[in-house]
Amino acid sequence: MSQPSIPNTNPFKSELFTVATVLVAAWITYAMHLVFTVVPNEVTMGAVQRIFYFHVGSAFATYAAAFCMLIGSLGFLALKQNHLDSLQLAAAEVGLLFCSLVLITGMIWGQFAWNLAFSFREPRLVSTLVLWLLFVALVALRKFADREQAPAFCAVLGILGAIMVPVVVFSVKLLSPIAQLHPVVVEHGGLREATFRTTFWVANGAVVSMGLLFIWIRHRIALLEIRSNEQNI
Amino acid sequence: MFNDKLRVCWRLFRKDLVIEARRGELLAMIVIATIGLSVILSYGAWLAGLSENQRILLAPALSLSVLLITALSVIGKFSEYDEQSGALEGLLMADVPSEALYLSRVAAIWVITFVAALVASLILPTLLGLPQVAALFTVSGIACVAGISLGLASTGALLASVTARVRVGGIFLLTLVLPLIIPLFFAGCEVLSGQESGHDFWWTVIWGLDAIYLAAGLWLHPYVLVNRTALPL
Amino acid sequence: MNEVAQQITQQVPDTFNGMFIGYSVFWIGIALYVVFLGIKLKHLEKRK
Repeated sequence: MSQPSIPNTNPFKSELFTVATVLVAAWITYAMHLVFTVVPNEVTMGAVQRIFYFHVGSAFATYAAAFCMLIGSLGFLALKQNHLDSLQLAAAEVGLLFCSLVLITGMIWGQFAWNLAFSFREPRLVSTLVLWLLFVALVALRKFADREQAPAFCAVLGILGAIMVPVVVFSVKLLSPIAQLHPVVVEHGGLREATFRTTFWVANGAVVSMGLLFIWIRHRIALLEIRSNEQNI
Repeated sequence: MFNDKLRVCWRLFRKDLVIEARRGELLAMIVIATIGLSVILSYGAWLAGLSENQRILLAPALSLSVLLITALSVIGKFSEYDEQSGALEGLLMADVPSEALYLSRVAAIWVITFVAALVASLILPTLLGLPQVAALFTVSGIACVAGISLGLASTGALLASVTARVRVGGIFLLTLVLPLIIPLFFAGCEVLSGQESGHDFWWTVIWGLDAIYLAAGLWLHPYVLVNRTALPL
Repeated sequence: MNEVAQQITQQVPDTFNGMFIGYSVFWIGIALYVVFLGIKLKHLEKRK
């Protein structure tokens, strides 16, 4: 079984990491500038609507992490390579982080805008909650399973979970009776004001790139852990 | 070839049921836990002073949650018996096909869960003062309970092989299966709540999900079983 | 800010607190994860 060579370096000391971090930091700074100084307050909700830009970005980052998790899981079961298992581990952990942020920021936004932090009549809240439970299960399984068996177990659960994501998203949309609380701004061709639109896409890109950067770093750290365990055995 | 696998599967299924019938531990544990939980939950519903209509709407969700909690906390034990007694090791050494192992386990868990589900669907509505709404008394109710038990059994059988070798053991099954089973739970509540609209859709969700779980279980079960030794790093 | 934007800005409810708490939670979450990564890396360097 061929294994790629595992770099024995601190990921924080590589040049590529420095460049990527600076770029992501600059992107986020620009997004924050747009969110706080360029776009106006939304007319019915006021300032709290500005959470929207990073809230939706976190949701995109969560889905990107779920996709990486699927690639890592399938890849690991097919090729049995450590770096694919590390990708799965990294994606599940970062997915849990961003999914938690989506839920918490969404609840805060809901509480201030509609005086309702959570509702089971709202499909997207329910599907995000299910996805969050899945990420929790994956991270917990990684913690509780033996080191040798965890990769295959997590890959199996990761694939099952990734299969369930679209099913959950589509099925909960039909829960009866649906009273749509969640704004469907983008699907309904909203964000007509140009500054809203620009800020929306810049902020989304910034948060997703931050998520991918985290996955990359965590992936490198996981590989270092494997190497360190090898040396200690 | 196919007939051979089916024969092996049938023998394993019979063995599991005969052992369970002699011991009677799992079914007894599920039923006792079901009664205990039903008492607490129905007491809460009476305490809240809910009207008969509200209790009718609440009954399916409560019955299914009792089933989920009790069944998932017990079926993990099934695989632990095999793991600890060395029976699984023997079956693997005898080259028993993984599909036969998986399907026989699903069938055995399905039977036990289905019986427990029928008990849960009778006890809780009775304690809520509504024995007439028990799923046991209608064909569609029984079919719905059978569908949900099959989903529980197919994900439970796969992931119980995982939890049998995880430090925290069978109780961890609830954490792993819950995010996967929630859409099935929603569909079951919709069907059992007796609202006519969208019934066909929810039936499709129940049996469609069962098919997905079974197919995914058959595909992924070998990975959970075969990986019993450490991967070369 | 153009005219449309200026009109929108007028007479909106004051929900600044919500925005402040939301962004604080977001950045605290991110910061905690960065700290977690740092601790993991430090442990690894110690083991070397």
